[in-house]
Amino acid sequence: MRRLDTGGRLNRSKPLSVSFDGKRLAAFEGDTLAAALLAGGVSPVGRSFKFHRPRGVLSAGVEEPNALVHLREGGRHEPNVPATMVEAFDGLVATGQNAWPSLDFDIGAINDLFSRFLGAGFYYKTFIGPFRHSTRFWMMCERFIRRAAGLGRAALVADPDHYEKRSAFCDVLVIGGGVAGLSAALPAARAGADVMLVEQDFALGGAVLSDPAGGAGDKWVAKARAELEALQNVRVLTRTTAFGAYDGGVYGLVERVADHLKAPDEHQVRQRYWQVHAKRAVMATGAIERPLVFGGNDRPGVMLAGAVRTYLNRFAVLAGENAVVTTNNDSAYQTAIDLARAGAKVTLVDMRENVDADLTRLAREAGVTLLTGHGVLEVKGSRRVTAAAVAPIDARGRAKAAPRLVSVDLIAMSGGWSPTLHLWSQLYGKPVYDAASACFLPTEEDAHRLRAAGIAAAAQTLDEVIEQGFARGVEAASAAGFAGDSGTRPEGFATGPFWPATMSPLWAVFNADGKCRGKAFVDFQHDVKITDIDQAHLEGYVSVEHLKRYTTTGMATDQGKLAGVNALSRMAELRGLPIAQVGTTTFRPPYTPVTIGAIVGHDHGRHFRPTRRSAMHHWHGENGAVMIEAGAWMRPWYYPEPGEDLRAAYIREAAHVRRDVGLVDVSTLGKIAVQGPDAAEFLNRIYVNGWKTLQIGRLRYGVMLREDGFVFDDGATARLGEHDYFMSTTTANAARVLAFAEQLLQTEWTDLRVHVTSVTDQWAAIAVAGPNSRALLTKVTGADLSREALPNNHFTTAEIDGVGVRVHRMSYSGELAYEVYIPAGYGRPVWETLYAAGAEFNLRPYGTESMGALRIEKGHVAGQELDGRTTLKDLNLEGFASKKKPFVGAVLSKRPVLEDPARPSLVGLEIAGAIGAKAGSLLYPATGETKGHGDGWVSSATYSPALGRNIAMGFLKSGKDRIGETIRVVNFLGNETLKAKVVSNHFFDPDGERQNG
Amino acid sequence: MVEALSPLKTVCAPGRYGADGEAGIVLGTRAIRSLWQIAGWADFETAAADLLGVLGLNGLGDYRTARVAGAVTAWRIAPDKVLIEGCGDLTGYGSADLAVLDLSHARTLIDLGGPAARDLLTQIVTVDVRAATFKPGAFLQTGIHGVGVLIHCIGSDDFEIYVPSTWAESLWEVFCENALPHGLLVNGAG
Repeated sequence: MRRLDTGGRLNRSKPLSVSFDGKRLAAFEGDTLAAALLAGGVSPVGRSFKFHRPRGVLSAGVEEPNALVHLREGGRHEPNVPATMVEAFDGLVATGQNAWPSLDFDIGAINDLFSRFLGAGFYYKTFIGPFRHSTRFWMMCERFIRRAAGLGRAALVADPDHYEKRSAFCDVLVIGGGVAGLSAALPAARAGADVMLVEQDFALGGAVLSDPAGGAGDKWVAKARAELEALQNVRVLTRTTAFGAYDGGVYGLVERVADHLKAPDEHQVRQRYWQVHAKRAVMATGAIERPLVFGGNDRPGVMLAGAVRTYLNRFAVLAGENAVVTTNNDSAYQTAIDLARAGAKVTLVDMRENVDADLTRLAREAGVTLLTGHGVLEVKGSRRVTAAAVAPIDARGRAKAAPRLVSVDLIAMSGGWSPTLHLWSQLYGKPVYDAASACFLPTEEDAHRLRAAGIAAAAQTLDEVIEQGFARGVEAASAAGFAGDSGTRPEGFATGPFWPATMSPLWAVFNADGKCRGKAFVDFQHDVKITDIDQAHLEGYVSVEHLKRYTTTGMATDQGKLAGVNALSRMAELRGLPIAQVGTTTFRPPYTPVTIGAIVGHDHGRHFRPTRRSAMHHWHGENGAVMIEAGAWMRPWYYPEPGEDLRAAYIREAAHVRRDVGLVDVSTLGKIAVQGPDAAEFLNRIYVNGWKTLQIGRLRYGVMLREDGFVFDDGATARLGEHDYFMSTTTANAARVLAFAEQLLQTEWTDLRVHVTSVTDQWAAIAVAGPNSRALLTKVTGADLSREALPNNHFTTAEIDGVGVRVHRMSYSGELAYEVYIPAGYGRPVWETLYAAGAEFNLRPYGTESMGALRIEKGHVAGQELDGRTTLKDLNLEGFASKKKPFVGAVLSKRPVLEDPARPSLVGLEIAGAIGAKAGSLLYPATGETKGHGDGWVSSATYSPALGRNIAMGFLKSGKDRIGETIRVVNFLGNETLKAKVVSNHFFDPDGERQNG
Repeated sequence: MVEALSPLKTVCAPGRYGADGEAGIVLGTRAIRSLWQIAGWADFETAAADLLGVLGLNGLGDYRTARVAGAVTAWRIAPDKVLIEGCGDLTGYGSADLAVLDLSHARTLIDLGGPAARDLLTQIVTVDVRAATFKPGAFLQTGIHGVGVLIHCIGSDDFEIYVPSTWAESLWEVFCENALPHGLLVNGAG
């Protein structure tokens, strides 16, 4: 292996510093890491998954199964990166993976000695028994097994880079920037269609890039590229892989914006995920060369023939001085000829007896030694190929005579090609087998909006590639509504032989007895040998889907790129069926691995989801509040004074409200405008209680059920005008209630002239609670808020600092209390005015924790009680339900199981002792075993400063009949049992004297 | 009377952020003058005719094109709903056939401009915003980060985006973060 002094598509004026396992490698701009490794003579570059066999570079593309490396360091560290896909950059640091202590000497290689015990499905058979507690034993072993049989190691530190997501729309998406893709993009763009051309390489050209530089192909590509780049309606994305095709013409792409740099430029993204909506798409994705199966075909120095040619012509790397090129088709002849012209000694071992005379003449003229009707039976050499055992073979690939050894340092193999039809298969299912070209091909139906062109459709000549591409481009543009002038088809250029028309279906070389010599692999990445396929067959596996999963063939990143057809060929032989009948598996996205970062984009950290903030949000933070998430909102939890923890703070805040006055931000309550002449009827139907008598200026508490009869939500609704109501909901259910109302109005109650609109954003809301609340609000509004002028459940309008507000007289805390609704833009100024004016009334802010304590003291239900499993009866709210009208949930709420008097119903619990109960604790009678689900559960718990004790609310079987009973409150998680007395849930001011005063 | 505060007051800090060079993105905000929703039922067009006439608007319009008359802009956001900015107080127009609703504080406006404005939109919305399909005068309703918004194209690369006020600060941060690679100029309140 060596770098040639001339040739290639490298910028030799820009040398790069690249290191692998600490070894510095010479590289140039235009190189890949794999090219640098080959040029530097690095071998092995990886260790296999299961047997830890030494492996070298096999391919030059996304299909690489062996040269998987750790790339970069620190937060940018990335495992399992194919070295073939890593563009070299200055400062590139890569290391080997899945080996210890090093790639050269890997302890794990001992697995290779036990390979006969590690065959297909060995884990299904091995990791059971024989002990009584075998599961536990094997679970213990799992981490060791995983360490021995694994790939790369993920980074445990945060990724410092940014990723971006974009949506794009186009008329024609062309996937693949080779000759076929360019031929498709040109006519579509000329016709005026909006065209996106995406290419996973950093350069356009596809297979042309593997030809010697400066040829006719380069000129052809440059001309096409120049024309496309000059058109305004064309977007060309290189370093971009189309990894997924989805319904509706949606494609997932990942653009590696800065992967070719040591780090992204400041503020720039590393990768960009594109979601492309295309009216039509052309799949010009080429084909992937298949390996041949023979003993030791995984040894370093055995490579795909096309890759050998790519390294030679694109990267100026001669992968071997003494090569055997073995093939079943014509395409490898170009590799043999180019190697020979570069100075290598080449023996071409063609498995076919009859080969085109012109081709053999060209090969011989180049100095290639030709052996037809021969195959490579076995590779010699352990850490690197040293010789090939070459034998004459029959039509089934079986050796007809003893092999002879040919000394080599490189074996280039070509078992034919598999069209890259993954995207097509993701959309349209299984491709069909074409015996003539010995590969699976996409089918074509009228409804298909993605169609293949070129090598992806097994085109047999370059002219056919261009013809197909051009036709697909015209067709796609026309289907997208652009049937204008598409110009003329580009002329072709001279190129090497193609494979489809000339290949033999021979895929493996066997001994005369039909067995391979040594380990012959069909899947390099998973160490699946041909004997594993045989074993699966012996064990009765006949479905390709089962075969794949049992043997792991073609799984993980391979996704059938290399392993598919050879495994299927073996299965077909064993079953005595043609491959077409055996079939293939279905391809699924992604075609190549996609980083999680690209999928996530900016939607992580504080942008994992958007945050909702009230108009007073920043006041809370500026005044020491500890905030807490409440759904999408951030709410003030408590306002600690120096030295206070949560408990001390909320007890102080709750006591303060009962004694003086407090204010709390309740802007998060759902607020819905209900408008229209039938608004009262709408409320009548959606709430269990009646609304037709509610007068303007008054408000009423309401409860609504789901259709299944369980309680959905509650809240107060005010009648603002003849046809205008203002509904409030719980914070948690605001969106659900609105959606439910919309659904009913649009589908069930189309007879009602009602509109519902969220006004949660329009109104900030402040609850002012406590004995001094009236005095405070009277001072700032100047309004008459006396009991006579504004009784409970009434509202009035007023002004605070010139801002028109609405003052609702209602209480959640059980105190004399008001809710002030303010146009949101004035929310903070009004809050600050209230706060300043409240100094003389000893006003303090309070948070959600003390608000919860106050409502538990009062016995109000909240989200903990309205958990979707409770009925009106369970909540002691059945008295609210009207018997004079139908309402949502009325019928199903009468189901016998919901009427069962033994159902748990809401009770209060006075907890004995100094320790409070925990929500979720289970309730049991005072004596007896504490097994099963008990008699109920605790829903809410707090310390009550008003009562000076711990209290709770919960649901207890036959609760109403057990008032006065002492029960046990068991917290199994905390291993804690408390005693509690069952009481009414209305702990504080049960007659409502304070709130109505 | 005290001054209304924008939800973006804390975060809309004028300055130059992100990548160097010409700022690809210009962000700002302005106060919404007045924003009302009018809604009706089967006879909506008739019920709204007088009001629309007073405002200088001719008919309800379609669902993709804003209607502009002087300082008044209207968007038909649903078959039976129109959102109107700059219309003053519409309280007096409410009736059994026409529901009027003040939403002036319910929305916050984000001004988006700059040569990369459309690129930024492709990063945060999943609808077609190409110049050929989303032209000046057009509007669309979509979601940004899961929050419903209305985007009005007012120039080749200029957009006014109406976002729910309680989400405004969070969405502003989403805009800014996505704008940094383009170079961001924040103009502040307009």
